Amino acid sequence: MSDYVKLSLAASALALIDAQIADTTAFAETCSAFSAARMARRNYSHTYYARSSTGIDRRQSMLFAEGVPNAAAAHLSLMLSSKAPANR
Amino acid sequence: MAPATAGLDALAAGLFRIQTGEWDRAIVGARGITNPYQLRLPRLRPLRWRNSAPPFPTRRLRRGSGAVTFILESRRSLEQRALVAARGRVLACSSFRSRNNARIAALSTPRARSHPLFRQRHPHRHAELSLFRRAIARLRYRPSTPHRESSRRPAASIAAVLRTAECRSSSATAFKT
Repeated sequence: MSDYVKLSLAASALALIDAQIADTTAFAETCSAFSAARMARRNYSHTYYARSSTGIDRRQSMLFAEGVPNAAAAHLSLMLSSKAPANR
Repeated sequence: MAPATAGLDALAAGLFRIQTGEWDRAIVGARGITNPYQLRLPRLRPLRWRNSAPPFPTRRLRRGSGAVTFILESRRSLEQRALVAARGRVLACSSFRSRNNARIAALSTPRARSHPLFRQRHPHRHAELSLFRRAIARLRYRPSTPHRESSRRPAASIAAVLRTAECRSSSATAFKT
């Protein structure tokens, strides 16, 4: 999980606590998510290609697989078990 | 590259869908990570590191990274959670991308609305952002981003105003009682 996603999940968890939402699963049942970023996509692309540049043996297919759905809204939706749409 | 106002755009999108009744609640956020490519561009560095490499660690979380999250709810959804009070109410939201000269009227609290700086009108977005910076000058949020424009910065300013307005109103209430 990239720093971008970790920060997003941490901020969302703090916001849920601040909003006094005790039952996050019930709240997220119909809660949608929007995530905006300006340059975060370049961050996880850099993580993948930086390893690739040091040698093809060090390239990890799992890292690329993480990078494709590495939108914060998608991870947030997974964390909260939300069934509503998540957009980025 | 998404615009620097992506956070406000996400806020506007969430607001629009709640206003139209499509959604009842939404988690809206702006996130950003300072990556090494940004730090290599001299024009994106702070002035003191303009001519040299910034002393940022490469493996740890870099300065300027951050995330801001808002939880938007419709009035009906908020009334279902009767014991919870909202920090602010969204009156209007404008996107810089669609209207360059639109003024920020994104979020408002009673305290922030009465602030004289908040009432001023500026035709340019940088002036509006500086307006927010001046309004939150004594708050906790200190933008330390190497690059000036980021999607989370206006959102962080709004969050800081919301939190501080509530703190001020609660302290005023305590003083009155």
